[in-house]
Amino acid sequence: MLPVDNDSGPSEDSLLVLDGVSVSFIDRQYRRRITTDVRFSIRRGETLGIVGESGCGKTVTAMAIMGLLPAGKSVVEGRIEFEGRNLLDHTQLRQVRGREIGMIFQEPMSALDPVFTIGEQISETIRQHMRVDRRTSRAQAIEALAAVKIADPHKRYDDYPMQLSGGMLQRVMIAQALACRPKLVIADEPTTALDVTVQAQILDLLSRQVESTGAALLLITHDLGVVAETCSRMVTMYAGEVVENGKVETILRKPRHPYTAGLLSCLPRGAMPKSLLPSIPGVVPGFDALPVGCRFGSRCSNFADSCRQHQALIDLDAQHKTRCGLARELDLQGVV
Amino acid sequence: MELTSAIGAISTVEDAEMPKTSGAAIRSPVFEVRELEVHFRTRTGDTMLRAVDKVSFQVHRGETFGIIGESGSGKSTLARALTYLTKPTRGQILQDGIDPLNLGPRELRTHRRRFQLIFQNPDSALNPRRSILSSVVEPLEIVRGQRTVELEGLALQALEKVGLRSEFALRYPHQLSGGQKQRVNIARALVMQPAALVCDEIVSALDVSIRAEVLNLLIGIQAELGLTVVFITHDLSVVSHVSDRIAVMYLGQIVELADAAELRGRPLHPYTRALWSAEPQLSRSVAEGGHHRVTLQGEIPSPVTPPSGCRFRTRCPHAREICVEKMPLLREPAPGHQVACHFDLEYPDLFTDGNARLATQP
Repeated sequence: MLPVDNDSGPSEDSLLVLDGVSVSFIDRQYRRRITTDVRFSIRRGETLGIVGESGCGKTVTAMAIMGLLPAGKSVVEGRIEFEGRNLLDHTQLRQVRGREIGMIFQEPMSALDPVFTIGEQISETIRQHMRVDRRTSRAQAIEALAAVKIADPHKRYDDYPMQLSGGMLQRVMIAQALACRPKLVIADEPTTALDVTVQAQILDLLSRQVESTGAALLLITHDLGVVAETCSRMVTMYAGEVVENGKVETILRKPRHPYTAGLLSCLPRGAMPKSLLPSIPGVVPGFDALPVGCRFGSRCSNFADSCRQHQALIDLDAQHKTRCGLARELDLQGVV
Repeated sequence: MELTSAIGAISTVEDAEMPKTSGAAIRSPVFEVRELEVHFRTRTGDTMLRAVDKVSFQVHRGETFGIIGESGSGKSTLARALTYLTKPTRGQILQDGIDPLNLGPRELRTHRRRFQLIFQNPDSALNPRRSILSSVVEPLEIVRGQRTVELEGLALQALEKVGLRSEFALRYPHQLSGGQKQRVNIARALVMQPAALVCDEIVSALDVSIRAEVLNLLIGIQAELGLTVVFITHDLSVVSHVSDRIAVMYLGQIVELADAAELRGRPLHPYTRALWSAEPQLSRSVAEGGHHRVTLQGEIPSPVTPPSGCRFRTRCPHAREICVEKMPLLREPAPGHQVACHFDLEYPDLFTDGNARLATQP
């Protein structure tokens, strides 16, 4: 099998490319590798979901793209490029961050500054990146608030974060992230703190905004349902590695990595109430005790001798990759 | 479910202090909630927050009663009231037919052991400075006055029941994963040989693969011990999976109550319908045509100043004048299916037809 890497190679369409990205945290003399050789790319206008359970490295990957990891306490290796610009270089990153890449965080309450009005915070972002005067930035901020369906944006402009509910604040975050018309929006668990009916509103809004502005979306979530409804492609991460990458529709029908299959099967789907749910036995290996071979091996029911060797991300076809050497032999169950 | 199996393997030691269930108690529901109200004074002191407002329902022996609602719906306050951690402002909760407020302090102490609450956050529910064994033994120790080898044996049996081998007993909470900690909390409730467990969002903090394990454990234990379970959550797929009956709460009130399958397949309240349709689905997006989502406007209003009339009217797509004027009471349009709505809303097929037929009640 030739390592044809259609996805991570610099193609015409690629907006963001991650290649061999490893993030390590430094704690005194110890150096702990959190993610290993993360590679994927996003095309223009594409919606990509990264799924995985807590500690799999999905947020760390987003922080690495945005250069938000603590300097001096972390090391990012590999290549992160946005339209050919190297994001690991701070000068180039600063031209892109906030303007061409917008970010939405999980907890709007802690992501917004409590002592400035929400309007001023959006307005500041616009002034920072667009070289416009206060009056123009104010008008644009009000427009951005209106676009995320906040009623009376003129009045709301002068509200402080504490005056708004969680769902409204997440709308403000979306308005801020999209205010400079970015080419890519990174949303890290944007609806996890919200109720299900509000989550539906926010996902709906986010999808529409992204679609109407033609931006690409990188959505990080632990909720496969959210990915299924919002994204066209998905990446599964496990213990700091990308283990599967493919079209959402294809993976839901036929996952090609046992971990993705396991995640899908764990979800109660109402078919057999009170029946025992399939679960994944064991726990994620610690970052200090990662095996040389397949990191999912100790929890995998298909474990074979060959799994003791290092597993590379292999191409099943031009659209689908998996980090499972047995993928071609296994018949894993999808949910659709 | 056989009542005799209610005496599980952990009850090897007869305890004279443990209350015996009388014949009368067995016939009565485990929880009978009558017009329950729980109010809190707000910080400024001049307004009341009606966290639970005139709620009535019964939980039958051996069933799993699901309570679903969004934040601010009053479901956690209800959980605390069911175990008398919060006193009702008005109304009554009978446990096994007994009103605990009529019991003397001694009787109350033995009585309330039979109704155990398990909390959402497994971390804050365990003392980080106590070993697992010591945390599980503690409630028994309080009952008996001192810690004995016999009690430690009971605690070890309870831990085994939740799938934690004895080697876990001397570990500390920080050495355990979230799922394991939640198992410890379940074991700690089980050592008291409860009649009922009130589970408040016990799997919300867990990852999906771990969540499945804890749910399996709960379902297994319930079947084995014949426990009654009140399962409170905001997670729709989880509540449908574990529950026999489900109550839907909105702003301190029950708006719909029905058999789990009935509620899922034929919801009558517009809020229930909106909840189900808001749940992100794996399959519907891929299936042809997708599904019709009812997107609600706005968010749950403040319980300090609830809307007049129907509390859901500010977000309801079917709201009319009567909804502003009159609060709908729970009525029973089908046997065992209660709903608090002025209208008879029919949804011919929830997942394919987005248009509800709207008919006023005769």
